[in-house]
Amino acid sequence: MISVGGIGRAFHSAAGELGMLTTSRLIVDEVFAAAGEPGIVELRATLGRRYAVLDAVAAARLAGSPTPAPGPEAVATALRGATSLLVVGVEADALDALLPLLGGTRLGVLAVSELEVDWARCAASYGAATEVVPAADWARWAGRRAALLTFLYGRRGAATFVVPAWLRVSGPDVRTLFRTVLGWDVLGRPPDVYPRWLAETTVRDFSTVVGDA
Amino acid sequence: MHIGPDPPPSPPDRDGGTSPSGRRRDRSDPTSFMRPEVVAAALEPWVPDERDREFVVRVILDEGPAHHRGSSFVLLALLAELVRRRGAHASSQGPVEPVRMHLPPHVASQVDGTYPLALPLEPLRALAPDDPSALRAMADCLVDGPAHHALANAACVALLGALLDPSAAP
Amino acid sequence: MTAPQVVLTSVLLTALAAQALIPSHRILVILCGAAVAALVASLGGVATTAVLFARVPWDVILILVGLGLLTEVLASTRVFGRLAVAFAVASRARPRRLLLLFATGMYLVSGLVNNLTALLLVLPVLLRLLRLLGVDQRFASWTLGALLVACNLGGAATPIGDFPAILLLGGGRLAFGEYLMHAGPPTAAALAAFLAVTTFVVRPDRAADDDVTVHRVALAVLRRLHRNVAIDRPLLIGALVIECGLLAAWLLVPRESGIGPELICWLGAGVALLLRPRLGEALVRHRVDIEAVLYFLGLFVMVGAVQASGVLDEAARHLAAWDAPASVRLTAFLVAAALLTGLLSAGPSMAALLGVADGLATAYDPVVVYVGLALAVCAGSSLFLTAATSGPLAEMLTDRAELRDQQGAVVRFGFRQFLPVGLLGFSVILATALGYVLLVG
Repeated sequence: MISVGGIGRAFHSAAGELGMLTTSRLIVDEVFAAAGEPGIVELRATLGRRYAVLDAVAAARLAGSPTPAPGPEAVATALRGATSLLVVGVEADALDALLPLLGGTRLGVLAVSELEVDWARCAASYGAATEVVPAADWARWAGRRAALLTFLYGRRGAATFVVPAWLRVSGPDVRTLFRTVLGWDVLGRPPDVYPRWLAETTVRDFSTVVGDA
Repeated sequence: MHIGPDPPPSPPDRDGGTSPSGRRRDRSDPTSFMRPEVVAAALEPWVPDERDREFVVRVILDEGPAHHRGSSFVLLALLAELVRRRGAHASSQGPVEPVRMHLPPHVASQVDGTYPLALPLEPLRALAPDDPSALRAMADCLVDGPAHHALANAACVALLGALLDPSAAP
Repeated sequence: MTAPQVVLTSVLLTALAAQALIPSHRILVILCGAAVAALVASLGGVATTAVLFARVPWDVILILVGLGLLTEVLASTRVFGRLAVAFAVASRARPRRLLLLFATGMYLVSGLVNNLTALLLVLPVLLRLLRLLGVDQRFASWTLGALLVACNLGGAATPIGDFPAILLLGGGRLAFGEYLMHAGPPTAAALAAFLAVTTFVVRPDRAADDDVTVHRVALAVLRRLHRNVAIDRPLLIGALVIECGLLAAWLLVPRESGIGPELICWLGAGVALLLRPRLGEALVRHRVDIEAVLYFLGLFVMVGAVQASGVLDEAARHLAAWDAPASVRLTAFLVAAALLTGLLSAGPSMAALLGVADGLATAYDPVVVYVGLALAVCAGSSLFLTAATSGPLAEMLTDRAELRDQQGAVVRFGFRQFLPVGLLGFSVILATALGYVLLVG
């Protein structure tokens, strides 16, 4: 019997700082290790409707194709030549993998989230090369060699799902201030249920989209 | 050169990414005739870096109202065709006026806030050969306004400059 | 009593009561009280302000600042956060083990560094784990309460753990090794007794969730959140070597050499700051606990004025003249000190009572008097949440952590929630203090 409250608390507590996908993968792995496939089925049944990304990851695990860790190579290639990268939203697995490939690119994580985040620890997690950027300072990261990145949680046609913070940042005026506006599809499949903690936008927000279509 | 409304399908974005500009293949989109690669090729002498060029072309053709994007494409594509037919040599030499990003004033001095395409000033001398203040005013008009306006203006002037350059005459 | 004696004692007691009642304004209250005390002392011919300042035990303030900076250097290595995660992992998120490991760990840490800084860095990790586990109110109250009691005991275990012991060390009343030998074992015994009663009699974990999956997920999340928080090993090694050097110097360098514990601390803190000059400069500029310095400065001025008026000497004389066996007098004094500390908090109580203890020390084994007083003050500072500075800090951090139980009810940690823990801690530590005095004295 899965403790709905316990797992839900863990998801809420970690999703802001680790990212929805990273947290979902972690929870699905732990539940699978503790309770096997029946545990995953129960996890989907009890928490799937509430957490769409968790549901998608659990569904993939049940289908026998666990959601792979996001591959950062294509992102690194798309960012070649960029001197700075401002990230909106956090996905720990993805950023951990990308960071070693960035070379001299300055990395900033915008401190805007609807979920609970300890930004100081978040910064410490990525070392001195990463800055936590206050929301009001995003423009300091713009420029002709600057890139802006957010994570996409699947695509359906031209529609895609992002953390709501993206909507606070993206806009026609912002798109003209960054050489690359990158959407990194880390989930690779659209959620099956209504993604209530995500916001819908269009891929036209981005100059480049990377990840499984 | 083909600038008609039935382009071949765009290749997928290099490096494994896909172009998000679904609009270009969407027949219901009034600007589906646009072919960014035409403008990108035309601007190569002024913006040699491929990614910089993509940036400039994106701002000109992907931002702003549809009529303006479409108009910019038509004018730039026609100018590019003219340059090609005249066999004119584009020159990136000479004084330029940078096209600045619209950054908050307190940030502007801290970041490299100019676009990779600048406005060539040489072609404007044809209109004001001995009047630096008029030249200045013309440049101000051309680089002012929204980024897609200013960059389209700069691109047009660059191509016109190639056509006006006496050394470029066939 | 003379008029200045009455007024100065009233000013001191009013200021101490006011700072206990309005802890959010305690620095202001104490500094204003000190100014009024200096005015009364000057007008009443008791002592000039210059005399009062000359009587301030600057060596104690120097040790306080030096140890605080040394703790900041250690904190910069991120060792406390890693330690907290290590405690959590070692506990396997089992409630009882969690309580025992964190309490024991904080006891050890608090003996060596400023427990406020350590608590500030360890508590968020524990609170995150408690939140992930969805613990109930009772378990949260006892776990957080036990942590505070353990911090107080750790602070009293060594001469550098907390202000009361530092005051004894700085004033030259006790040598470093002397205090350590006498205070270490009773505090360890008190902690063991407190944890035994908590674990086997109170059993705060009896209603805790035993869901292994939740424990696994909680630990996995915690590990992941701290995955890249790396310890600055070179700095940590350097700081630990200096800390060991300080301990050795405090133990081995005789006071007659002219090199007192304050100078040893000053030199040690300086070397620690020089390990990373840029960091050291930043710490000196921004991380000196100026609040504590001003608070104790004001306190010393007030107590100095009262002392100069002769009130404390008279109190000590009255105590000495009390026709009762010495052990009874000492016991009464320690119980009174513990209760007073519960009301006023450790710093003020220790500063005010030390003069009386000095009188008792002439008729009794001084080591027993001073160590007994330190233990009694430790008991008192464990009585109420407001009696130790770490209490309000824990309350604030817990509020911020927004703990909820399995049913979603808010879990709080305030005065009322701490009280049962405090009563147990107070009783156990005071009983240990009295047992120590009666056995050793």
